[in-house]
Amino acid sequence: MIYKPRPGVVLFRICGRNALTPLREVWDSCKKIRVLSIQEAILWESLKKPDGMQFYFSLMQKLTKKPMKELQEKAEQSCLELCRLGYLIAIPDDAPSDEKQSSTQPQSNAQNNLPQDE
Amino acid sequence: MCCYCSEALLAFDRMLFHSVALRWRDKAYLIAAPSGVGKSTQAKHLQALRPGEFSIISGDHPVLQFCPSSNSGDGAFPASAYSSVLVHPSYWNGKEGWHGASVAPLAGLILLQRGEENRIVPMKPREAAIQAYSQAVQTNLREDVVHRVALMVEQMLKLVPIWQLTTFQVPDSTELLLRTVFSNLDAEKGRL
Repeated sequence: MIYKPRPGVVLFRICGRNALTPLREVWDSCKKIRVLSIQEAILWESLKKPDGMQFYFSLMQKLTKKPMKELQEKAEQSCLELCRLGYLIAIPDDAPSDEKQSSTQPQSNAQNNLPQDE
Repeated sequence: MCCYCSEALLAFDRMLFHSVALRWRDKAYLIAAPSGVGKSTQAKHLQALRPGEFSIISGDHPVLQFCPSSNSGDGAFPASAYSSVLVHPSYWNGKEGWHGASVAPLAGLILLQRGEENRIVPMKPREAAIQAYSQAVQTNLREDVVHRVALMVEQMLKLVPIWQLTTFQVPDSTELLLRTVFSNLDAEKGRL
């Protein structure tokens, strides 16, 4: 499964906290505001990129030195939860490649937009 | 209508904030919570317990004016852009239609919630952030507005003390609010 951020959901920072909020266009698809841990916020920003999950794992391995299996399990849990709440879209691995690309447009500043903890 | 007005006001460093705005000794205090939690009930009991001391600037959606620091530059929006927040009356005053008191500088924010006991605790901006952000009125139509509102709410939280009031029963929770917040402010004023 490939996970992509739902267009119309915004990651914002306030007082050192990261949270997701849906814009009006996806108001009915998502559940209000969701506070994210710093790892989830990095995951969210990473998933905007092509091969976002790979990017996330390599970054988190460098940052946390945790084993890959642990990181994968935690990321999978977060993705499932964010999917359940409507913030992420799950795309089957065998979906046409244009569907995987078009579900979200990578933002121009995504490269340098990773959240930072306080 | 209310949220479109609030969004239009952002360009002028103002926003509508879902709360009851009280005026007490020339300062403004906001009681903020989602609808139905009991903002108006707290305001009503404050007025009943201390007759003549509390007046209401706006019963539901005061306008907050963020006053720039003298060194904030021209047109820029640095992290410490604001030095104070003024609380103004507005057209939206809730079902009671409470209003009448004039503008005052914001001196405190009380975030109200319901619970199993009456309790009041001071809050750090980080703890209050999401609750406070949720009461800022906006259309949620544009990403830049979300970021702008978050920045303004963050500034407000850094400028004034914040309390979380958990209410189980009134007027007991209101008395607790009076004793812990307003009586302490009275005592502080006396010491100065």
